[in-house]
Amino acid sequence: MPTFDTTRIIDLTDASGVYGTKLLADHGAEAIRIEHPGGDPLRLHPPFVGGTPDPDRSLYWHYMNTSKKSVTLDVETADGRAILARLAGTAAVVAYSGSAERFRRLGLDRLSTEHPDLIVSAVTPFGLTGPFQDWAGNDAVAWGAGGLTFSTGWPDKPPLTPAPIAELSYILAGYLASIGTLAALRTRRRHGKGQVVDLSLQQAVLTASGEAGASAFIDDAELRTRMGSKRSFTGPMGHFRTSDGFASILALMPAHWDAMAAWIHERTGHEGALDESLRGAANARSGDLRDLANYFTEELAATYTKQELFEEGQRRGVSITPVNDPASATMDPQLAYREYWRQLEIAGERVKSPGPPARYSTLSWDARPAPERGAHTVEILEEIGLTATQLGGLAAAGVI
Amino acid sequence: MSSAPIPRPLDGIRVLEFSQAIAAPTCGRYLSALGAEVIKMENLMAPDLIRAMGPSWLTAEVHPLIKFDVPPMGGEYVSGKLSCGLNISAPRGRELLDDLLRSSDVVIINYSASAIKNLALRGEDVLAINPSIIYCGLPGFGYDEGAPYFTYKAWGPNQAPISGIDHLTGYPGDDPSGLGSFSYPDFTGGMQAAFSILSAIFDRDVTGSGQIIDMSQMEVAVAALGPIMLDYTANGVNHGATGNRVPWAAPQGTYPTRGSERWIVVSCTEDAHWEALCSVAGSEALVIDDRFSTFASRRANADALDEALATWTAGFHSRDLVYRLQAAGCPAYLVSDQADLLVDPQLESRRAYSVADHARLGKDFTLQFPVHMSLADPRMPRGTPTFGQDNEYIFEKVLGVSHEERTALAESGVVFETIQPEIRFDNPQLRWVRHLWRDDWPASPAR
Repeated sequence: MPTFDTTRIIDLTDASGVYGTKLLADHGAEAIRIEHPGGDPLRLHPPFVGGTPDPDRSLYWHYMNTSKKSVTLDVETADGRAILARLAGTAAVVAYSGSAERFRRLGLDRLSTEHPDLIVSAVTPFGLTGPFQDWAGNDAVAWGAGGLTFSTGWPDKPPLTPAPIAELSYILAGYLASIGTLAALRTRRRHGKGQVVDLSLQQAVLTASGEAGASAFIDDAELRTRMGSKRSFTGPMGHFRTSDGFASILALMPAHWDAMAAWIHERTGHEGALDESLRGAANARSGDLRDLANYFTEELAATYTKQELFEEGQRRGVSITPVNDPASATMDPQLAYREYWRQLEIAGERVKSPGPPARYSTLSWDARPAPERGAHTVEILEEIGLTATQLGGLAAAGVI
Repeated sequence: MSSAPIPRPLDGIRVLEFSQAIAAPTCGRYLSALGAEVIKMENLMAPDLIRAMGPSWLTAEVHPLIKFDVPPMGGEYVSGKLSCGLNISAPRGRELLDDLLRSSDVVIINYSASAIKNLALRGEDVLAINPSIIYCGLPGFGYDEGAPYFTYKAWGPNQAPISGIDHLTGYPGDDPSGLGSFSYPDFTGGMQAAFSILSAIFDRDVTGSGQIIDMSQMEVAVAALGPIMLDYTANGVNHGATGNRVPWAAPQGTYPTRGSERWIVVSCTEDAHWEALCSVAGSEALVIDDRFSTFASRRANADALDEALATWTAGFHSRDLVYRLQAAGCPAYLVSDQADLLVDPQLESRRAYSVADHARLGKDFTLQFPVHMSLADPRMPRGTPTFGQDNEYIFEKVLGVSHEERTALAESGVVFETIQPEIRFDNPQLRWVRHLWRDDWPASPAR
């Protein structure tokens, strides 16, 4: 039995929150995606099946909207907002993401007053409070404002947004908003009260800043700057070139380096790798010793493919992973063994797609194909009491 | 109407956390912020890496283990929790652990798969002791004894490379930069764990059923790249690094401003954003350049656009230009460094950082739960506990162990007590964050 089969979520998210409602829907919640009658703008988010922009063939849209229902409704009209308010009365959650200005314009701040047991979640660039609440933002702006662009990239080039085409701050935001929503659902069931869940993209990034954030800085007052994958305090640490790409190598503990040194000697014949001065924990190899350890590691890495280096290194007790591109990630043997990949139906084709982010002994997870535009409009709106005549009028007026 | 406060969402839920930086501790902190009693189970023989990375200011005269109590990263990963020092490999230690498991609701563990097996802390081991417990295991590659990577080590910085994230981070035609400075998959792993545990609690409230949650941090990270993976599996498009660019924005990048290493990020996803930028730029060359007049032409001439923009931004003070751009409606911000974060007006207003109570330091710097909730008020007033700080509560109050036995167990190395608890320090880090030290911190709702 699904966990949340009686939990209705009205999904008003844009790209910055859509992963959160996908998570809830794939876990069994009834998520109703509200689409503009002219089409959800996210249906034009790349990539597309076949590569050509087509609102029915967005891989992005179909991935992010699995297991949801679709209702067309123009919430920018007064009639549309009135229907939205009625729909909210039948729901446990209204999930929004976008600008704080639009949140207020759609009247979502008032919804929680009108329905005291409603949970209203909002992902906005800077939050619903504070001096910059109305500032514009998105994924790239969030990574800058949360402090992690500063420490990403190479020192001789401008700072970098982490994996910008994957919009990874939106994944963090989707998770955090849905975590808040789940907690609020428990309060709602136990005490009959809803609440507002308010997350900023800036703080979604900040919470992942870890060793590159303010806590590390106030300890030693040294700014964490961008150094690519390498670190000044030790070697080897970071990406090294293999015969077919790169692998990521870490020698944090003394035993890691000893295993590396023996391996380098065996494979390349470099006696110097066994030198006593290189031994010890990570910070024993800095300056010239770091450069020397990196040189030996480069010589070793070049003689393997990334997957071979990974498997042989792990066998020897060294923490190595391949720097996978999307193609090689889809061929990973561990994911294959665990039968991770699923087939998702998109625009009439079956596409190999990422599987469950967690597996359960009794809860269920299932990513069912995303809905066609407006597939559930009539069903849902009749359920909340609209007549066929009213629906016809609304359709003629372009509201649904 | 009753004015009794509504309990926090996870009021009454006890969580045992067996953790090594960073995924499981992240999950534990979120559950703590939402009201759970999170007990960090700690073994002095194998301390959490976060504790082992002591502060720069501690002098050599103090007992070497005291550094475990004052880790600089504690405010990110340990604060808000209770600490229990127990050697669970000792026979009596294991008995006490099993008692604690019987009185707990959730177990979260991110030890390596082989350590989980050796400690008999697999899901089926734990549910055999307490059938209604929710168990979440998140080793790097999942728990699967026959799987190819079962014995592999998965330190955080290696997960972004294997999942494909590092490959997508860099300048085109260059070696991949990767994330380098932080470990994204640790956070998505911890967040998915919190999501799954909350789902299982919601279910157990009705069914009474325990749960085994099997997670692989790699699988969570690959799912986060879903559309990128689909472009390969459906179309054979194998994405690479794009610098700061994306197909749906132009310009999008980081641009220098006055001073050394002062950058701003600008991202125009709509024509209105570009028009806003132009309104700030006035009569500058980039406004009248035909190559930049439409979205398509800005995309096609992205190199020239970035160069022209960088020339223009270089004349401004970073904050001044960000204020001007935002006032006009153009998405922009500082590329904040760590010092900027500490004085960021928005983060300060949202109480993203605060100071919290610490037994040795008085006050310690703490990153707060990022989600604001109008009723739950998820805040963490407690800082990093010292190693074993809550032994008295856990052993004597929860488990009913006598004080005499606890003392004897400490002498025989089964229980680890805080070392020299009378030693205190003035926290030198607080000189940076005096402005965050406010007295208006609300009292935490009673547990």
